[in-house]
Amino acid sequence: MRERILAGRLLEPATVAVALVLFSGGVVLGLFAPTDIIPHPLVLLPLALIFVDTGLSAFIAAREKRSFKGLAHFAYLTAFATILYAIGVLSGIRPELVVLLPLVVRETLVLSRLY
Amino acid sequence: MDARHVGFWVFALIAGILLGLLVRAIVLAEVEHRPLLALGSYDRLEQELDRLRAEVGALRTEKDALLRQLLTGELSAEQIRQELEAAKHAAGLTPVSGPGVEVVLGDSSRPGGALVERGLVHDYDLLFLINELRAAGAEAISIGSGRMEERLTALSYLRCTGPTVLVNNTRLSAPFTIKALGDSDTLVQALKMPGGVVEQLQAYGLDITVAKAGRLEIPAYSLPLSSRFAEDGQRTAAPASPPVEENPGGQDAVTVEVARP
Repeated sequence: MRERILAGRLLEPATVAVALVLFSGGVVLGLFAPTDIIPHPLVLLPLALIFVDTGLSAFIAAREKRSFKGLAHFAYLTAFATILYAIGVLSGIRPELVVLLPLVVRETLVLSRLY
Repeated sequence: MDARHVGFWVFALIAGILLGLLVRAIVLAEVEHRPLLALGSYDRLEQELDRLRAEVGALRTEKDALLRQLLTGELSAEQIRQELEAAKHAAGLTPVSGPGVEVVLGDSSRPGGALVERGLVHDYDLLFLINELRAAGAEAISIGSGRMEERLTALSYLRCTGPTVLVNNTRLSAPFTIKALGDSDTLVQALKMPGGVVEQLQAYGLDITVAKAGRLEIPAYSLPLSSRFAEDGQRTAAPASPPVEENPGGQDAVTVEVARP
């Protein structure tokens, strides 16, 4: 996924409408998913944060008119979270804290770039 | 459709799925294992905290009371009282109740001819019956007749005196009602086993009925306790002294010696 996302295109009403429909459909799919395939919240929460980070970073890159490799960014953050999880397990500190805290701090910093 | 928007739409779809899965996972998770602190779990934790605080307070109060009793010697007195109650219970000095069997033993209603005396209930018939009940685990036994009822203890005796039987110095006449507390099934089986007590007494022509009872009441031993010659083992080892003088409170008085630490 090497596409460049432009700010002008993102804000088109039709594009946003389709995205909202797909997002709503995804929410419904997730809510009615079989319990056997639902990952543990410890996996879901970092994954959701990484997705939020990717989306925000893509939006900021488009606003600043620079290129953004979404897939690479996602893979990088996933690897980063996995390493944090390994550190948490090996050190004996609660992995939830070790993984989620840096991600939350990262999201805070990313959000601060919006204003 | 602009191909560059596909990535954005895929992102929106996956983000939606993730959000749905996250909500579902949190809803399905047990309250205690939820990653987020919910209002319900917070209330529950507060209630648990209150309960534990109350338990701590109660345990502290109990500890203080026990410590006070220990320091003032009340604890030893309470232990003595409990042991005394247990001893009185074992000695048959307190009324008891519980499940058991009720046996009615009467003289033979059939003409006995030359064996007419065998058709009467004797003390050994009652002793035979009582021994079997005790062997079967009876915890308390009484013998009654009419409105009279006598608790059997280690001091009890049964003795024929003419047409009556003397139990605890009380005259009883047939039919006798024997109550025994214990496991009803076991007691009945012990009495009715082949060649057992019931069969033998019936062979003598005596009328006997055995019935289970859900709840029986047996009175306490009625006679006063007296001990003129028997002494406690520890006191016997001490230098001899007149036994009667050691009991100045009278025959009914019981002297309890407690070795204090």
